[in-house]
Amino acid sequence: MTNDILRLSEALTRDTERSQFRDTLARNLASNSDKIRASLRQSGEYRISTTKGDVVIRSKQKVA
Amino acid sequence: MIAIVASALLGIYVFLPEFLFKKLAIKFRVVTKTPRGRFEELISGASVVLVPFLAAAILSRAFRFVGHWPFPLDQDVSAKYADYGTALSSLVSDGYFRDHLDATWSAVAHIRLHQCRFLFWMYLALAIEILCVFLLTYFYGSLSRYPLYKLTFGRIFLGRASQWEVLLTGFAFPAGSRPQVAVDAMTTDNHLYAGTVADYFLKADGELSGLLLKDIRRFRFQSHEQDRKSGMVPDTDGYWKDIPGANFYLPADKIANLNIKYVTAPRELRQDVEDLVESMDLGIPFTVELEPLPTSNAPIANGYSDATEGEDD
Repeated sequence: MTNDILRLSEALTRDTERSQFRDTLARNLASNSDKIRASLRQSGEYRISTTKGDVVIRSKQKVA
Repeated sequence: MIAIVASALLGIYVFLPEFLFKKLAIKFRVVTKTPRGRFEELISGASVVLVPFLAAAILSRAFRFVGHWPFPLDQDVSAKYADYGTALSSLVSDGYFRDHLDATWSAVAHIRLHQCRFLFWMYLALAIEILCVFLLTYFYGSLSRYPLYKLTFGRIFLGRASQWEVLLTGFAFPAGSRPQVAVDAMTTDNHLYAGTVADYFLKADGELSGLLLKDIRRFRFQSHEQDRKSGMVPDTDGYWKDIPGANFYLPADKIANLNIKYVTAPRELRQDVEDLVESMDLGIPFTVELEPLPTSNAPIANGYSDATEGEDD
Protein backbone atom coordinates (compact mmCIF):
# COMPACT_ATOMS: atom_id res chain seq x y z
CA MET A 1 0.00 0.00 0.00
CA THR A 2 1.42 3.33 -1.02
CA ASN A 3 0.28 6.41 0.83
CA ASP A 4 0.92 9.83 -0.50
CA ILE A 5 0.56 11.85 2.65
CA LEU A 6 1.55 15.00 0.81
CA ARG A 7 -1.57 14.87 -1.35
CA LEU A 8 -3.71 13.71 1.55
CA SER A 9 -2.57 16.49 3.86
CA GLU A 10 -3.02 19.05 1.08
CA ALA A 11 -6.59 17.88 0.61
CA LEU A 12 -7.25 18.02 4.36
CA THR A 13 -5.83 21.49 4.90
CA ARG A 14 -7.09 23.09 1.67
CA ASP A 15 -10.70 23.69 2.65
CA THR A 16 -11.07 23.47 6.40
CA GLU A 17 -13.87 24.61 8.65
CA ARG A 18 -11.55 27.38 9.84
CA SER A 19 -10.73 28.64 6.34
CA GLN A 20 -14.42 28.54 5.39
CA PHE A 21 -15.27 30.55 8.50
CA ARG A 22 -12.51 33.06 7.76
CA ASP A 23 -13.50 33.44 4.08
CA THR A 24 -17.20 33.88 4.87
CA LEU A 25 -16.50 36.41 7.60
CA ALA A 26 -14.06 38.32 5.38
CA ARG A 27 -16.69 38.56 2.63
CA ASN A 28 -19.33 39.64 5.14
CA LEU A 29 -17.08 42.32 6.62
CA ALA A 30 -16.04 43.62 3.20
CA SER A 31 -19.59 43.92 1.90
CA ASN A 32 -20.88 45.57 5.09
CA SER A 33 -17.97 47.85 5.94
CA ASP A 34 -19.99 51.07 5.56
CA LYS A 35 -22.84 49.63 7.59
CA ILE A 36 -20.39 48.55 10.32
CA ARG A 37 -18.83 52.02 10.56
CA ALA A 38 -22.25 53.68 10.73
CA SER A 39 -23.50 51.23 13.31
CA LEU A 40 -20.42 51.67 15.51
CA ARG A 41 -20.87 55.46 15.43
CA GLN A 42 -24.60 55.31 16.16
CA SER A 43 -25.11 52.44 18.56
CA GLY A 44 -21.50 51.56 19.40
CA GLU A 45 -21.95 47.93 18.43
CA TYR A 46 -22.23 45.72 15.37
CA ARG A 47 -23.16 42.06 15.53
CA ILE A 48 -22.60 39.39 12.86
CA SER A 49 -24.03 35.89 13.18
CA THR A 50 -21.64 33.15 12.06
CA THR A 51 -21.54 29.38 12.21
CA LYS A 52 -19.20 29.68 15.20
CA GLY A 53 -21.27 32.19 17.13
CA ASP A 54 -21.87 35.93 17.10
CA VAL A 55 -19.00 38.25 16.25
CA VAL A 56 -19.52 41.43 18.22
CA ILE A 57 -17.59 44.57 17.29
CA ARG A 58 -17.84 47.30 19.93
CA SER A 59 -16.67 50.87 19.61
CA LYS A 60 -14.36 52.14 22.35
CA GLN A 61 -15.53 55.70 21.71
CA LYS A 62 -18.54 57.17 23.43
CA VAL A 63 -21.63 56.81 21.30
CA ALA A 64 -23.09 60.13 20.14
CA MET B 1 37.94 -13.30 18.20
CA ILE B 2 37.23 -11.80 14.78
CA ALA B 3 33.52 -12.54 15.26
CA ILE B 4 33.46 -10.75 18.62
CA VAL B 5 35.23 -7.67 17.24
CA ALA B 6 33.00 -7.63 14.11
CA SER B 7 29.86 -7.90 16.25
CA ALA B 8 31.03 -5.09 18.52
CA LEU B 9 31.81 -2.85 15.55
CA LEU B 10 28.47 -3.66 13.90
CA GLY B 11 26.65 -2.86 17.13
CA ILE B 12 28.44 0.45 17.70
CA TYR B 13 28.45 1.63 14.09
CA VAL B 14 25.13 0.31 12.75
CA PHE B 15 22.64 -1.08 15.26
CA LEU B 16 23.03 1.44 18.10
CA PRO B 17 22.77 4.52 15.82
CA GLU B 18 19.73 3.06 14.09
CA PHE B 19 18.14 2.19 17.46
CA LEU B 20 18.78 5.71 18.78
CA PHE B 21 17.39 7.23 15.60
CA LYS B 22 14.18 5.22 15.83
CA LYS B 23 13.79 5.96 19.54
CA LEU B 24 14.62 9.66 19.53
CA ALA B 25 13.27 10.95 16.24
CA ILE B 26 9.86 10.22 17.75
CA LYS B 27 7.65 12.09 15.32
CA PHE B 28 9.22 10.35 12.38
CA ARG B 29 8.75 6.92 13.96
CA VAL B 30 5.14 7.56 14.78
CA VAL B 31 4.18 8.46 11.25
CA THR B 32 5.98 5.52 9.63
CA LYS B 33 3.60 2.89 10.91
CA THR B 34 2.95 1.20 7.60
CA PRO B 35 5.06 -1.92 7.08
CA ARG B 36 8.10 -1.73 4.81
CA GLY B 37 9.60 -4.28 2.52
CA ARG B 38 12.94 -5.84 3.48
CA PHE B 39 14.80 -3.83 0.83
CA GLU B 40 13.21 -0.56 1.99
CA GLU B 41 14.07 -1.41 5.59
CA LEU B 42 17.69 -2.05 4.58
CA ILE B 43 17.95 1.18 2.61
CA SER B 44 16.30 3.13 5.40
CA GLY B 45 18.63 1.65 8.06
CA ALA B 46 21.72 2.22 5.90
CA SER B 47 20.78 5.82 5.13
CA VAL B 48 20.22 6.54 8.84
CA VAL B 49 23.73 5.29 9.67
CA LEU B 50 25.47 6.37 6.47
CA VAL B 51 24.80 10.09 6.84
CA PRO B 52 26.55 10.57 10.22
CA PHE B 53 29.28 8.07 9.27
CA LEU B 54 30.15 9.93 6.06
CA ALA B 55 29.88 13.29 7.81
CA ALA B 56 32.40 12.19 10.47
CA ALA B 57 34.71 10.63 7.86
CA ILE B 58 34.72 13.68 5.57
CA LEU B 59 35.02 16.24 8.37
CA SER B 60 37.88 14.38 10.06
CA ARG B 61 39.83 14.57 6.80
CA ALA B 62 38.80 18.11 5.91
CA PHE B 63 39.44 19.71 9.30
CA ARG B 64 42.53 19.03 11.38
CA PHE B 65 40.67 19.82 14.59
CA VAL B 66 38.02 17.16 13.92
CA GLY B 67 40.72 14.66 12.93
CA HIS B 68 42.75 15.19 16.12
CA TRP B 69 40.31 16.11 18.89
CA PRO B 70 39.11 14.70 21.30
CA PHE B 71 41.49 11.85 22.28
CA PRO B 72 44.52 13.46 20.58
CA LEU B 73 47.32 11.22 19.32
CA ASP B 74 50.44 12.54 17.63
CA GLN B 75 50.84 10.02 14.85
CA ASP B 76 51.25 10.26 11.07
CA VAL B 77 48.97 8.48 8.60
CA SER B 78 51.44 5.69 7.73
CA ALA B 79 51.89 4.83 11.43
CA LYS B 80 48.13 4.81 11.82
CA TYR B 81 47.67 2.34 8.97
CA ALA B 82 50.56 0.23 10.37
CA ASP B 83 48.69 0.02 13.68
CA TYR B 84 45.54 -1.19 11.92
CA GLY B 85 47.67 -3.73 9.98
CA THR B 86 49.23 -5.05 13.19
CA ALA B 87 45.87 -5.35 14.95
CA LEU B 88 44.26 -7.08 11.98
CA SER B 89 47.15 -9.54 11.62
CA SER B 90 46.88 -10.39 15.31
CA LEU B 91 43.17 -10.97 14.95
CA VAL B 92 43.69 -13.31 12.02
CA SER B 93 46.69 -15.22 13.37
CA ASP B 94 47.27 -16.33 16.96
CA GLY B 95 50.91 -16.96 16.10
CA TYR B 96 51.40 -13.35 14.94
CA PHE B 97 49.67 -12.13 18.09
CA ARG B 98 52.00 -14.15 20.35
CA ASP B 99 55.12 -13.03 18.43
CA HIS B 100 54.11 -9.33 18.42
CA LEU B 101 52.42 -9.01 21.79
CA ASP B 102 53.76 -5.56 22.76
CA ALA B 103 53.30 -4.12 19.27
CA THR B 104 49.74 -5.44 19.15
CA TRP B 105 48.67 -3.91 22.48
CA SER B 106 50.32 -0.62 21.55
CA ALA B 107 48.46 -0.65 18.20
CA VAL B 108 45.19 -1.48 19.95
CA ALA B 109 45.65 1.45 22.37
CA HIS B 110 46.21 3.81 19.40
CA ILE B 111 43.26 2.39 17.46
CA ARG B 112 41.05 2.82 20.51
CA LEU B 113 41.85 6.55 20.57
CA HIS B 114 41.19 6.90 16.82
CA GLN B 115 37.91 5.02 17.07
CA CYS B 116 36.71 6.92 20.14
CA ARG B 117 37.43 10.21 18.35
CA PHE B 118 35.65 9.05 15.20
CA LEU B 119 32.67 7.78 17.20
CA PHE B 120 32.46 11.07 19.10
CA TRP B 121 32.02 13.00 15.84
CA MET B 122 29.81 10.34 14.30
CA TYR B 123 27.40 10.33 17.23
CA LEU B 124 27.42 14.14 17.26
CA ALA B 125 26.44 14.04 13.56
CA LEU B 126 23.80 11.43 14.45
CA ALA B 127 22.36 13.73 17.13
CA ILE B 128 22.17 16.55 14.58
CA GLU B 129 20.54 14.19 12.10
CA ILE B 130 17.94 13.12 14.68
CA LEU B 131 17.24 16.75 15.60
CA CYS B 132 16.85 17.73 11.93
CA VAL B 133 14.51 14.84 11.18
CA PHE B 134 12.49 15.56 14.31
CA LEU B 135 12.11 19.25 13.44
CA LEU B 136 11.39 18.58 9.75
CA THR B 137 8.66 16.13 10.75
CA TYR B 138 7.27 18.23 13.61
CA PHE B 139 6.91 21.27 11.37
CA TYR B 140 5.51 19.27 8.47
CA GLY B 141 2.28 21.30 8.46
CA SER B 142 4.18 24.56 7.93
CA LEU B 143 6.93 23.25 5.65
CA SER B 144 4.87 21.06 3.33
CA ARG B 145 3.84 24.07 1.22
CA TYR B 146 7.44 24.51 0.00
CA PRO B 147 8.21 22.57 -3.21
CA LEU B 148 11.79 21.81 -2.11
CA TYR B 149 10.54 20.22 1.12
CA LYS B 150 7.91 18.23 -0.77
CA LEU B 151 10.41 16.87 -3.25
CA THR B 152 13.08 16.01 -0.70
CA PHE B 153 12.06 15.24 2.86
CA GLY B 154 8.36 14.97 2.15
CA ARG B 155 8.71 12.43 -0.61
CA ILE B 156 11.76 10.46 0.53
CA PHE B 157 11.22 10.26 4.30
CA LEU B 158 7.46 10.56 4.68
CA GLY B 159 6.39 8.87 1.47
CA ARG B 160 5.28 5.77 3.36
CA ALA B 161 3.81 7.42 6.41
CA SER B 162 0.56 6.04 7.72
CA GLN B 163 -2.48 7.82 6.32
CA TRP B 164 -4.12 7.39 9.74
CA GLU B 165 -1.51 9.64 11.32
CA VAL B 166 -2.51 12.34 8.86
CA LEU B 167 -6.23 11.71 9.19
CA LEU B 168 -6.55 11.19 12.94
CA THR B 169 -4.08 13.74 14.33
CA GLY B 170 -3.33 17.37 13.59
CA PHE B 171 -0.12 16.28 11.84
CA ALA B 172 -0.97 17.98 8.53
CA PHE B 173 -1.60 21.34 10.19
CA PRO B 174 1.00 23.90 11.30
CA ALA B 175 2.49 22.99 14.69
CA GLY B 176 1.28 26.21 16.34
CA SER B 177 -2.37 25.77 15.37
CA ARG B 178 -3.10 22.07 15.34
CA PRO B 179 -6.84 21.46 15.58
CA GLN B 180 -8.55 18.93 17.79
CA VAL B 181 -9.70 15.91 15.79
CA ALA B 182 -13.36 15.02 16.27
CA VAL B 183 -15.12 12.09 14.64
CA ASP B 184 -18.66 10.96 14.03
CA ALA B 185 -18.42 7.18 13.78
CA MET B 186 -21.26 5.11 12.40
CA THR B 187 -20.96 1.54 13.60
CA THR B 188 -21.93 -1.62 11.74
CA ASP B 189 -24.88 -2.04 14.14
CA ASN B 190 -26.18 1.43 13.18
CA HIS B 191 -25.12 3.40 16.22
CA LEU B 192 -23.72 6.85 15.71
CA TYR B 193 -21.02 8.00 18.12
CA ALA B 194 -19.30 11.38 18.31
CA GLY B 195 -16.15 12.20 20.24
CA THR B 196 -12.64 13.54 20.07
CA VAL B 197 -9.77 11.27 19.07
CA ALA B 198 -7.45 10.61 22.01
CA ASP B 199 -5.41 7.91 20.25
CA TYR B 200 -5.58 5.37 17.49
CA PHE B 201 -4.15 1.91 17.03
CA LEU B 202 -2.88 0.09 13.97
CA LYS B 203 -2.58 -3.55 13.01
CA ALA B 204 0.72 -5.01 11.86
CA ASP B 205 -0.22 -4.29 8.25
CA GLY B 206 -0.73 -0.60 9.03
CA GLU B 207 -4.54 -0.72 8.91
CA LEU B 208 -6.63 0.79 11.68
CA SER B 209 -7.43 -1.55 14.55
CA GLY B 210 -9.30 0.85 16.82
CA LEU B 211 -9.96 4.35 18.06
CA LEU B 212 -9.75 5.70 21.60
CA LEU B 213 -12.31 8.46 21.96
CA LYS B 214 -12.93 11.06 24.67
CA ASP B 215 -15.96 13.27 25.35
CA ILE B 216 -18.05 10.58 23.73
CA ARG B 217 -21.72 10.97 22.88
CA ARG B 218 -24.18 8.62 21.23
CA PHE B 219 -27.00 9.66 18.95
CA ARG B 220 -30.42 8.37 20.04
CA PHE B 221 -31.54 7.33 16.64
CA GLN B 222 -34.66 5.40 17.72
CA SER B 223 -35.99 8.31 19.76
CA HIS B 224 -35.30 10.66 16.89
CA GLU B 225 -37.17 8.37 14.49
CA GLN B 226 -40.12 8.00 16.88
CA ASP B 227 -40.44 11.76 17.25
CA ARG B 228 -40.10 12.25 13.52
CA LYS B 229 -42.81 9.66 12.80
CA SER B 230 -45.11 11.27 15.35
CA GLY B 231 -45.06 14.45 13.28
CA MET B 232 -42.53 16.45 15.24
CA VAL B 233 -39.67 18.30 13.62
CA PRO B 234 -36.85 17.11 15.87
CA ASP B 235 -33.75 19.18 16.47
CA THR B 236 -30.98 16.63 15.97
CA ASP B 237 -28.69 18.40 18.42
CA GLY B 238 -31.04 17.44 21.22
CA TYR B 239 -30.72 13.69 20.66
CA TRP B 240 -27.09 13.30 21.61
CA LYS B 241 -26.50 11.51 24.88
CA ASP B 242 -23.26 11.76 26.87
CA ILE B 243 -21.66 8.41 27.62
CA PRO B 244 -20.11 8.39 31.08
CA GLY B 245 -16.51 7.24 31.40
CA ALA B 246 -13.28 8.86 30.41
CA ASN B 247 -12.24 6.53 27.60
CA PHE B 248 -14.24 4.86 24.87
CA TYR B 249 -12.55 2.29 22.67
CA LEU B 250 -14.15 1.66 19.31
CA PRO B 251 -12.79 -1.37 17.41
CA ALA B 252 -12.17 -0.64 13.73
CA ASP B 253 -14.12 -3.70 12.58
CA LYS B 254 -17.24 -2.18 14.18
CA ILE B 255 -16.85 1.09 12.29
CA ALA B 256 -18.94 1.39 9.12
CA ASN B 257 -17.77 4.92 8.31
CA LEU B 258 -16.06 7.90 9.87
CA ASN B 259 -16.75 11.59 9.49
CA ILE B 260 -13.54 13.35 10.56
CA LYS B 261 -13.64 16.99 11.64
CA TYR B 262 -10.76 19.29 12.55
CA VAL B 263 -12.00 21.60 15.27
CA THR B 264 -10.17 24.88 15.69
CA ALA B 265 -9.54 26.17 19.22
CA PRO B 266 -11.80 29.15 20.14
CA ARG B 267 -8.81 31.41 20.85
CA GLU B 268 -7.57 30.90 17.29
CA LEU B 269 -11.00 31.68 15.84
CA ARG B 270 -11.09 34.83 17.97
CA GLN B 271 -7.63 35.77 16.68
CA ASP B 272 -8.85 35.28 13.08
CA VAL B 273 -11.81 37.55 13.78
CA GLU B 274 -9.59 40.22 15.34
CA ASP B 275 -7.15 40.08 12.41
CA LEU B 276 -9.95 40.40 9.86
CA VAL B 277 -11.66 43.31 11.62
CA GLU B 278 -8.32 45.09 12.16
CA SER B 279 -7.52 44.74 8.45
CA MET B 280 -10.70 46.74 7.65
CA ASP B 281 -9.24 50.00 8.96
CA LEU B 282 -12.52 51.17 10.49
CA GLY B 283 -11.03 54.43 11.74
CA ILE B 284 -12.70 53.91 15.13
CA PRO B 285 -11.08 52.24 18.14
CA PHE B 286 -12.93 49.00 18.78
CA THR B 287 -12.95 45.68 20.61
CA VAL B 288 -13.97 42.36 19.10
CA GLU B 289 -15.63 39.39 20.78
CA LEU B 290 -16.68 36.02 19.50
CA GLU B 291 -19.65 34.82 21.49
CA PRO B 292 -19.64 31.04 21.03
CA LEU B 293 -22.74 29.11 20.15
CA PRO B 294 -24.43 27.17 22.94
CA THR B 295 -23.08 23.63 23.10
CA SER B 296 -25.04 20.85 21.46
CA ASN B 297 -25.09 18.97 24.78
CA ALA B 298 -28.11 21.02 25.69
CA PRO B 299 -31.05 19.29 27.36
CA ILE B 300 -33.26 17.29 25.08
CA ALA B 301 -35.40 19.58 22.96
CA ASN B 302 -38.75 19.28 21.23
CA GLY B 303 -40.65 17.64 24.05
CA TYR B 304 -38.36 14.66 24.44
CA SER B 305 -38.26 14.02 28.17
CA ASP B 306 -35.78 12.24 30.44
CA ALA B 307 -38.46 9.65 31.26
CA THR B 308 -37.99 8.04 27.85
CA GLU B 309 -34.22 8.40 27.85
CA GLY B 310 -33.44 4.72 28.29
CA GLU B 311 -35.35 3.55 25.27
CA ASP B 312 -32.50 3.09 22.86
CA ASP B 313 -29.67 2.77 25.36
